[in-house]
Amino acid sequence: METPETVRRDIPKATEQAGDRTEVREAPDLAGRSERLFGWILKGGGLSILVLFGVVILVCVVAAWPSIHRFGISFLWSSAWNPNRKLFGAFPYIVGTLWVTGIALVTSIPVAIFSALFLSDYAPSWLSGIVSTLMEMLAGIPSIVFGAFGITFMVPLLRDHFEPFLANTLGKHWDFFNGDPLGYGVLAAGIVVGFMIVPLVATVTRDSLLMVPPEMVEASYALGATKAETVFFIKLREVMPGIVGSVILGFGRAVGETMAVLLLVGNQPSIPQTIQDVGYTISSLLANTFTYAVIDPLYAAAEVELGLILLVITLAVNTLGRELLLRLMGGRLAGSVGGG
Amino acid sequence: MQSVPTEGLSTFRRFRNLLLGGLTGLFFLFAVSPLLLIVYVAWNQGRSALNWKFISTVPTGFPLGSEGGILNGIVGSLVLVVIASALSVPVGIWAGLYLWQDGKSRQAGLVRLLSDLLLGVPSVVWGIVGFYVFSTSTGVGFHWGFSAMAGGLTLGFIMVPIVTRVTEQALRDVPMSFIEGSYALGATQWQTMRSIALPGAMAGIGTGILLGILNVLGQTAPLVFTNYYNTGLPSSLVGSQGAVGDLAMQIFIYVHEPSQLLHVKAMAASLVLLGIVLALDIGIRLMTWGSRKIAGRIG
Repeated sequence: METPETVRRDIPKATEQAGDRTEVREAPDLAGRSERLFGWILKGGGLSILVLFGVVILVCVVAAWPSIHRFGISFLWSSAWNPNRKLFGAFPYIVGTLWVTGIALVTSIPVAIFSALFLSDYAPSWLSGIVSTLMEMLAGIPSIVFGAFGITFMVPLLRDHFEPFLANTLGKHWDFFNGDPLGYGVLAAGIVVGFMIVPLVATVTRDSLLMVPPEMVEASYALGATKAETVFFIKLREVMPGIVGSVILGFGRAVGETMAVLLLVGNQPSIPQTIQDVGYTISSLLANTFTYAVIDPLYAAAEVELGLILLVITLAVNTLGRELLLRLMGGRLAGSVGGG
Repeated sequence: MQSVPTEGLSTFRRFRNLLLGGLTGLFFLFAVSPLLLIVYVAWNQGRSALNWKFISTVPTGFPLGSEGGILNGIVGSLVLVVIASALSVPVGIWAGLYLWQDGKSRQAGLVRLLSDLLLGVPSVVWGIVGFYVFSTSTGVGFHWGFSAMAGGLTLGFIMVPIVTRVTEQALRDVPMSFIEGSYALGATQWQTMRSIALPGAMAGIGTGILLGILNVLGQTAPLVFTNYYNTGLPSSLVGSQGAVGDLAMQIFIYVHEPSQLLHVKAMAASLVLLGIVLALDIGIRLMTWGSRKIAGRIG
């Protein structure tokens, strides 16, 4: 019978031997030049991604340069937007974008997390394939169809029922919920964008929930916890980085959402004061007015600079979310395709 | 997961157990309700305009589109998807092969990061890029104007990272023992890739291409900057006559018009677009019945 000490001493020895045995000499380069050439051709594929990324950054920076040069950093907090007087400022559009994105996140996060728990833990096994498919199919519905649906369904619903109700209840105490019930506005756009990002947040959260080690769940049950206690207090806490990561990816998707927002947000360059106000987002402004703006170089540059701001936000946010999820899931990560 | 016995627990814990479990189901139904609602609303409001003539004629009448249908949009979308695929399929597979071959190297890590970031670039930014590269008539660029080539290649840019990611994943799903076996028999990298890895990954790559097409079919914003819209059938691919129709653009233009009739037509066109997108989606799922992990990755 060996003592633990001997065992511990033996282990490095064994691996050393294994290491000696597997060490192989460099194989003679039989294929030679054609193989190296093939390697170089493949590298071209990687290079094409670098070039595409470079083109995106370069085009945005170069085309925005007249505006960056003219207005400097104050572009970010100036509210002037007057093409005739050549004054441009991003502030109303940044604020509008944040309003819509904020409402979208607030409405979608609870829905997405509960749905993810349903997909990973509560759906009976015979149903789990179907419900996951439904969730993923929702992600495939085009932005423009969501927008058209918003106009024909959400706007009348908000205008005639939800917004008057909101103004008569919460609006009596907080001005934040008040306003003219137009239907169109940051609320309509935010709710529809919220629905659009639920599948992304829910499927990424589901994937991280499926990574929780079963030992942890079994230990929780062994201690007498109920299913809900295990799922909500143990698993959910364990995957918190995954949830944060998926919400960050959802934010990155929501800020760039264009067509649905363009149809619903009202397109007024005023700064929304309440949840029922109309506004304008960066993406909807660009899609709506860029074709007019190209006539004047400075006007076009100001619009491209708005696009550059959007690009920088999404790149930063997606890098962060990706990093969090990669750390949690080790390489397998749902992609985030910018919505149309 | 099996149900856990709850006898002997306090009423509060039993109640909480049922409530939280029930809430997950309710929230799920709420989350997927738009899928059913959208199909229902589009069917309810667009059905009356949907007939063979709607599919097979181009818009006429005043306001334009009040008579005729969406043939221009269907043909135009097809043209755009073909151009987008012609760019993105070879480039995406090329980049995917590189990521698979170079695997864990630092350069590959950078390429993978940039490819993932390209997936998240907002569609209006792609529109700006496409405009300055393909459409603009001043400065450097191709000077193609608002045209099918400009719009299609911009959509191709959007598709490249999608095809890249799915190609790499499909190649990784080819069992390592096949690859090692090929090398052990003395095959070169090129032979292994051509005869072992690519055939094994073909189904997955096909799925990736369809996923990319699914994504760009619904793209509208990039086309506002690069192609816009045409009520006729395509006559050329570049220049002042180069713009083509597009289903998504057509819906956008119709819902913007203050005409009840055009709204009905927009709903009917949405129904057609939804039909194509959902049929493609279901087709992808049937194709990858055995290996669902690919289909769930993107989109």
